[in-house]
Amino acid sequence: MSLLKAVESDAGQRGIQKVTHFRLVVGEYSAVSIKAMDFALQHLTTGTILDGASYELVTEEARSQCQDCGRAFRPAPPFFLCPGCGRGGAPFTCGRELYIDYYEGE
Amino acid sequence: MKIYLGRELREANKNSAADNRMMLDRSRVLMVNIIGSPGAGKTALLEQTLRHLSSHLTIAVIEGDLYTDADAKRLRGLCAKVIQINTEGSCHLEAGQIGELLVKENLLHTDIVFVENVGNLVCPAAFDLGEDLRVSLVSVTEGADKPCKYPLTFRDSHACIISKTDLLPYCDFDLDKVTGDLQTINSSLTVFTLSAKSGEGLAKWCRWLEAHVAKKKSALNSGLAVPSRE
Ligand SMILES: Nc1nc2c(ncn2[C@@H]2O[C@H](COP(=O)(O)OP(=O)(O)OP(=O)(O)O)[C@@H](O)[C@H]2O)c(=O)[nH]1
Ligand SMILES: [Mg+2]
Ligand SMILES: [Zn+2]
Repeated sequence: MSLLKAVESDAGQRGIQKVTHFRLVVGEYSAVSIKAMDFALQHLTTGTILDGASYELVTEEARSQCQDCGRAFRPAPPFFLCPGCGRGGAPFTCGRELYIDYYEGE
Repeated sequence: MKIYLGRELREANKNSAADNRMMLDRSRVLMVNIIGSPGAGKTALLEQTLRHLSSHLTIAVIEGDLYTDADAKRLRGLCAKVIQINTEGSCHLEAGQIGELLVKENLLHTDIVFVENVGNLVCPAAFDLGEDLRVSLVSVTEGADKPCKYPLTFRDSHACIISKTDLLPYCDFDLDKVTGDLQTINSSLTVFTLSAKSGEGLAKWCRWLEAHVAKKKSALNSGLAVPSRE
């Protein structure tokens, strides 16, 4: 799992032996289910540097910025239209990623 | 000690996708990533497409499936090369797997590499493979609500194929509504309606592919044509 790899390699470089806590951010449109992630974390961390660590799983709301009128808004499915000018296709500024915000270790 | 990482966990995939895109641009090979639910007609579309194009284009196909090589077998003999990837349970292909094959299997000497992604309308859409064109399929038997149920998949595609149109008379599928919804979701989407069975609409799709091959071959800005996909 890339979560384990990302933390393991960073911790390795810093000489951290054990991770005690971490915060994982799941974008609203990251195509990852928070429930599945929670389940995976309870089972896949056994025997790794993350074994026994407490964690926070948080959802990040999506945000968009309209390229036509510049308005920032919370995109809503299915069309994700700009509430200012009604146009579609505005890129997401966040909400599609899956990332580790921070971890704590010793 | 508290360490702020802020690291995107699919960063590795993004990097591999960028590498693939660079290799493909340098070699002027067109890569097409085909995404659709199980049974939407991805392999049937490829069978017919290869029949039309392999007389004048060198084509390779990468087949992504969970376990079997049944789809690869269906395509063997129809083009220069068919390679099977078994994801062993994973519901999508990743850019690293594709990059490895591009090099190892000499796929950079072809004109087109088609990738049939694992049958799934959600997860493959979150993994850029470095393709030039992303094509999503929805068959008329799946129901007219699919674009609105999986909007991001269609939003991130260059083209959408509404497949199995020979079955339209037997399905409650409002073609105009679906086409309208797709255009609202993504106004630059090219929509094809076709049937792999009757051949209706296939010629237009093949011409579109040929035009993209020609464009890629003549691209002056090779190595720069990186479409953004956020
Ligand atoms: N009537 C009709 N049937 C089709 C058409 N295209 C595909 N089919 C049928 O639909 C079924 C699934 O087609 P496939 O091409 O295997 O679908 P797929 O998307 O590759 O499926 P997976 O690889 O399992 O995800 C097969 O029984 C095909 O014969 C079409 O245009 N018309
Ligand atoms: Mg198939
Ligand atoms: Zn706007």
